[in-house]
Amino acid sequence: MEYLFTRDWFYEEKHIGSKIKSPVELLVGIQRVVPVTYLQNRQLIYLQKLMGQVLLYPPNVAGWKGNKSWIDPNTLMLRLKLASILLNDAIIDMDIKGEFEDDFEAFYKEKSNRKRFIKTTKSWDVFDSKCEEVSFEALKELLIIAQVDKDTEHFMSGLEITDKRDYCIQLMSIPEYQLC
Amino acid sequence: MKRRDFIKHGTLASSLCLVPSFVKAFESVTNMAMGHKKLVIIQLAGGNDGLNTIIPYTNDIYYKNRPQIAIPKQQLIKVTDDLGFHNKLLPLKKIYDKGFLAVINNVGYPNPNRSHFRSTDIWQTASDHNEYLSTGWLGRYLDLYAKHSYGGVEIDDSLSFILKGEKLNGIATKNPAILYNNTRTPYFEKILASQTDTHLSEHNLGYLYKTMIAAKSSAKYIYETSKTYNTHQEYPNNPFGNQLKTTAEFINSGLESKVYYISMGGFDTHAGQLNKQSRLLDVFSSGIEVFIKDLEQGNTFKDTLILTFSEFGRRLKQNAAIGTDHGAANNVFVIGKHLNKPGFYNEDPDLLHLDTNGDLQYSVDFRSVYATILDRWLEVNDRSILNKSFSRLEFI
Repeated sequence: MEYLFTRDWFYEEKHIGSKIKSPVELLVGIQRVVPVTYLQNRQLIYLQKLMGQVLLYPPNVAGWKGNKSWIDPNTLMLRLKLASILLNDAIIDMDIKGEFEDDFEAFYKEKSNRKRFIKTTKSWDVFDSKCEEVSFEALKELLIIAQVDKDTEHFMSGLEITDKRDYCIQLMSIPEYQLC
Repeated sequence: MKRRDFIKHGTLASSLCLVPSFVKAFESVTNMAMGHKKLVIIQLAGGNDGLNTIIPYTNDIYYKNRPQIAIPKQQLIKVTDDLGFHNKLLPLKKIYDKGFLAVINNVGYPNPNRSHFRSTDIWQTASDHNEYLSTGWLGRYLDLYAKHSYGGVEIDDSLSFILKGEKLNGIATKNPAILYNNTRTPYFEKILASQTDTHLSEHNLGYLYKTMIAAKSSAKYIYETSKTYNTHQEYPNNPFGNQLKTTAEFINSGLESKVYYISMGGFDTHAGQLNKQSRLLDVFSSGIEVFIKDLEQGNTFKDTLILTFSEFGRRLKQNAAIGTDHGAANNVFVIGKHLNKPGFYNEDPDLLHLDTNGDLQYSVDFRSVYATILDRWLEVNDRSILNKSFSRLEFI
């Protein structure tokens, strides 16, 4: 381990921010920046199911395949919207699949309440106090460790940044935030 | 991430990832013609009891093992000298009479797994019982023969294993307008709009951007194409009916999607099976009846093949809760206009020679059914998708 962590190549730029975060890494990552409490625990499970990783329930003994396998068009749309869903009360328009053991009604039950919110209490005060001394630029460095695509960079730089909370959600909504 | 993965990923990813893309480009050239045939796969999730669906009504063993849940001779629709349909399958019987239905009995695989999850994975990935694949068989079909995510559509909100490929994933939607709207959130749209150069890099960030672009263009394509067709058929008002309606709108509007996957739930009838299954078969067959009518009206039924399966059948012997437990081999339905061999394709289930759990033994490997469909219907190389050669059947 010491060998590994003391090598220069371990810290090479191309290795940093090149892995796709697992759904749990993504959720925890947001959680660490802005602590959120789920008012209904099952909504946290629901998010995990939609993104394809329920903690402690790997698909088989080989575990999750990870990296690109987390991403399909549907999961990516949700993952990019996740910060807004958790921190900005964006609605979430997706239903989870029913269980095998469900009867017909239960199997489709989740499908009746579209336009739902994830009910959370957000501890923005924690974020505020931590970020008081942090510049916008430093906040970006902190949240995005991957090299930002140059067009997106350009787009971001054209935005008027006024509020740290908004900026934080914006940063968490760009594809680069999916990487670690 | 494991340390080993980290090293592997960091040092090898860049060079290795380039290879499959080249291979893919090469292979897609060999089969440019996608044809216009459609495949609709319906999973009766939970494990449908095939023995009470197609009933061996002259078999004493059947009646002996199911004193409370066997379907009496007077209550079924007799179709052959020894097999009859559940009476809620009257619409399916009509389809059978027209020669549009083939029933393949005893479909399964060696060493059957009785977990819903594992057996579903086996059916969806077309793996061996002891093999763990990370892509679905339709996903591998997309990898080799499709150019866009919308090549394979699941009628749901999240994508199942079956449509996940190595390079290309299908897309899931049960409401194209909502899917399209989800790609139009201000941020998603603006970031994409600001993209000038195409991201051809095989690295993960490039992959993310490409997937965003694919999601957006597929959602737009599906939404704009499918809204040009409105069905005139009255579908049963239940979620399965809605899934079929959406599928028919996709097919009839001329959407280029080739494969569709629908999961209908509720078939895990451990307790109080009779009424439950009755309702389910009613929902299933009345939905299918309208679906076919709808396709006929759009003149697309001739180009559509429907395959239904369950992850397993159910045990011959009823349980103490007036239901049945997870079993093994089961029947599958193939519905299409020009079947080679409509009706009952093979022998009746053999209730005399059960496996050690008391379950039906398979005589047809489910991958033979897939191989046949890939080869004769979708006209692609079944071997490269199933990774092995399976004997083909004659139903199409």
